[in-house]
Amino acid sequence: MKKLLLLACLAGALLPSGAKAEDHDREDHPKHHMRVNEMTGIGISAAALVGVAGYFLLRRRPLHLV
Amino acid sequence: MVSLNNTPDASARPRTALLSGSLPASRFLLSVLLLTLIAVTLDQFFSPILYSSSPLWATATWVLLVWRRGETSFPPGNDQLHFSFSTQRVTAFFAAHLLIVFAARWFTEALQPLAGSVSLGGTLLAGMKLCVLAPTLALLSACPVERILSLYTAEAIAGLVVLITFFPRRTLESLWPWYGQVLARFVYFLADLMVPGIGYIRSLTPTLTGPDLDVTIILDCSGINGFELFDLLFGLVVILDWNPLCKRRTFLSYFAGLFAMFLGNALRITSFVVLGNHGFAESITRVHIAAGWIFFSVVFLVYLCLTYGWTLNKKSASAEPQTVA
Repeated sequence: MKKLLLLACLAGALLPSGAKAEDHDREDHPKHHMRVNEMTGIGISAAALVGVAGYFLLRRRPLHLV
Repeated sequence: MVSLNNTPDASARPRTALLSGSLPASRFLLSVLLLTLIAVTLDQFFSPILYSSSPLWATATWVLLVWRRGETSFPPGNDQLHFSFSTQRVTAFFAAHLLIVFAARWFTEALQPLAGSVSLGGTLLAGMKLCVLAPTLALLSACPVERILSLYTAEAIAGLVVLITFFPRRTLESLWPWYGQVLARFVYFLADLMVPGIGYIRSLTPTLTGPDLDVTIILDCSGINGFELFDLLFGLVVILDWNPLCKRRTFLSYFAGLFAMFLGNALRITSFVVLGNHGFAESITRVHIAAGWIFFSVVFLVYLCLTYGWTLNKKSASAEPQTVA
């Protein structure tokens, strides 16, 4: 269960970065663009990953230390 | 039609229950909630004007919490309660959902302009979307509702809290003219202690003017991302630790956590104003969106560290250490 959740969060964090659209600017140099919703996807996934990982670490501690 | 059996012989119960078609309380409620979840999903699929995530989140949460609770920890005498469905009530349940779908499709054209709008009509429409949960009463009235709710009071309250408070984007949008001023005034009060010569321009999107950087507080700065993240993570904690949690403390901890996220958001914006006016204006402009998410998760973790031990019911947790560790 824990591993599945961590995997889901990790996938959520990494997948949107693969969705970057490649474009060309006026000098025809390849240029990467990222939409706001993709940035939001990465942000929320990274934050969820940090939160879930922190929670599991907290959960593993003996109760009297919590 | 309705059967509420107190079966004294526990060993004979499974066979009897199977033959009579009756279910233990937890399985009965799980079946009701799963039927509701499926029906609501289909309603929203066939009539998109009914779309609202609140009933889905609330029902899913209730399902998960009832499942996590299992068939243990009932008061003495209640663990042998059995309930059954009747064909008429199941038919009435689906008929009511069909009626809702047809009615919503019929009125779609008239309601479309109101959907998603921040107005009285839009709010009323959002409230009316919750009617998709009403047919569930037809299933629950097959048993004494107060009896099953008394067994699952905590789970029902948790579902209600999710229904009303989760992902409060519409609420924040509606309250923004007032809430935006409160937030901006609070940030101004904090930043004024550390940035000399700071100014405040009152408008729908208030601006804090500084020597190097002006910060305009728009709707996206309302902290909605923080509230949503808190809802998700707190919900996960509650679902995973449901049995050892002290329900009353968890309830209080949830609302205190929302307030903590508000304070965290105010601190986040204050840090932009302070750092931006102390030589980091460019860095702040570049990273403030992505950094906000991480900041919110740090706020959540700090809050969880402070309250986790308190919200756990230590009596039951120490009796079953494997459920906590």
